[in-house]
Amino acid sequence: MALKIVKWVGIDFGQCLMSPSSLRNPRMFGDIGKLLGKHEMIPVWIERMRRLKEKYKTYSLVKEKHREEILTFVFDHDREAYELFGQKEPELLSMAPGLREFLIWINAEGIRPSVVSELKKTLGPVGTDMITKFLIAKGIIGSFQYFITPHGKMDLATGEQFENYRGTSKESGTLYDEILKELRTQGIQPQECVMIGDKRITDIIPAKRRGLITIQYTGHIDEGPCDESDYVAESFFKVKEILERL
Amino acid sequence: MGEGRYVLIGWKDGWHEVSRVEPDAIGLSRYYVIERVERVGRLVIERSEGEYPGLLLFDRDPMEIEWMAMVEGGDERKLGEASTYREGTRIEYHYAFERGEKSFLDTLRKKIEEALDRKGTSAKAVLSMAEEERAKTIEGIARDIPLVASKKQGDLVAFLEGILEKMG
Repeated sequence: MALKIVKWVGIDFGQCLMSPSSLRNPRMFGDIGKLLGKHEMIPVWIERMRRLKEKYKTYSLVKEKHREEILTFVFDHDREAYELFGQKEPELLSMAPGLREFLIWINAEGIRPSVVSELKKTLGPVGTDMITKFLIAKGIIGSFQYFITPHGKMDLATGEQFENYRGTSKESGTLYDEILKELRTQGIQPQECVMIGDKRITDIIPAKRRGLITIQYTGHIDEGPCDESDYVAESFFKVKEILERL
Repeated sequence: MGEGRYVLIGWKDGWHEVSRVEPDAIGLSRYYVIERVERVGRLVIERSEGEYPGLLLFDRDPMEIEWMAMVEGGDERKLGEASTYREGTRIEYHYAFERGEKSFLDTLRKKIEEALDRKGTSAKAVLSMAEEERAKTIEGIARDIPLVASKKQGDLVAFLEGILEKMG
């Protein structure tokens, strides 16, 4: 057993365990256009997707809060194309470097991490949201225990949902309060918990202020150091090294 | 099979594609992949409330662009220093807009007048030409400036027609 003190691990999803670098518009819309025999629409969709991104500044904001405009504006209500978009997305998104190796190792250490995300949509059954679709597509859903969001907690093995997280948020810290409340009933203290994420405001600062060990993931976006990040890792190979030394 | 020759391609993930090639094709010659840094400039165009922003792409030395101007919509802007933003392997260079020092539009009008003088004609005369002759004359003026269209030749002709109308 390499892990001496860690008993719980939470990992953020966007730009952390999931890397969007591989999801390129020409590839995504190229595949969709070819599948539908609508080759002439490929450059049109690409242009519209880029303009939609400029309206909201980042692709992650488009996908988290304005997803319906991908249907209405980008695809001009072409539902078939939009459904293909939803299918292709988890295929084309990639895992952070070293994630698979990290999961194999940490599972062998007896820990199944939880995905801790600010997913804004209501939780449906496993496989109906972007995050669980991604985990299934990559064959790693069995490596995780729970999917925790402000809309609830889901047991990824059984699909059972727990509503006690409703209305919480990562940024306010109330989501971490709920996590710690549950972990305390299992005899797990904050200093035995690790939170890994890229955003200081949602993943690092509120977690650190509640006593968790924090690892700021910089493999995709590097917001720069902050007092509340105990460690910095640019890959999950590095995350494993950090946990082994704790 | 229909007339013509075809190439079939298979990917490791099970994806397959077919492409038509020249009817006199006799074999596969070679295959190679180019890997290099490509830079593309993106100019975001502000539009009226509720409309999605416009987008212009520039792949011709995008980091060598010096200034840009919205004609009849704002003053000329010089590109200042760029701040960098990284996401994975993607780097964005965000340029500050600074006040321009000179007006290319005034220079443009002057060059058009000079070109018209050289050709011994006037804005009014050019605008009264038949469509094909008018376009050819305008394209000749454009070459003298020099000015080209980024995407469509029609944009260049329409733009200069607008300038000539204001001069006439």
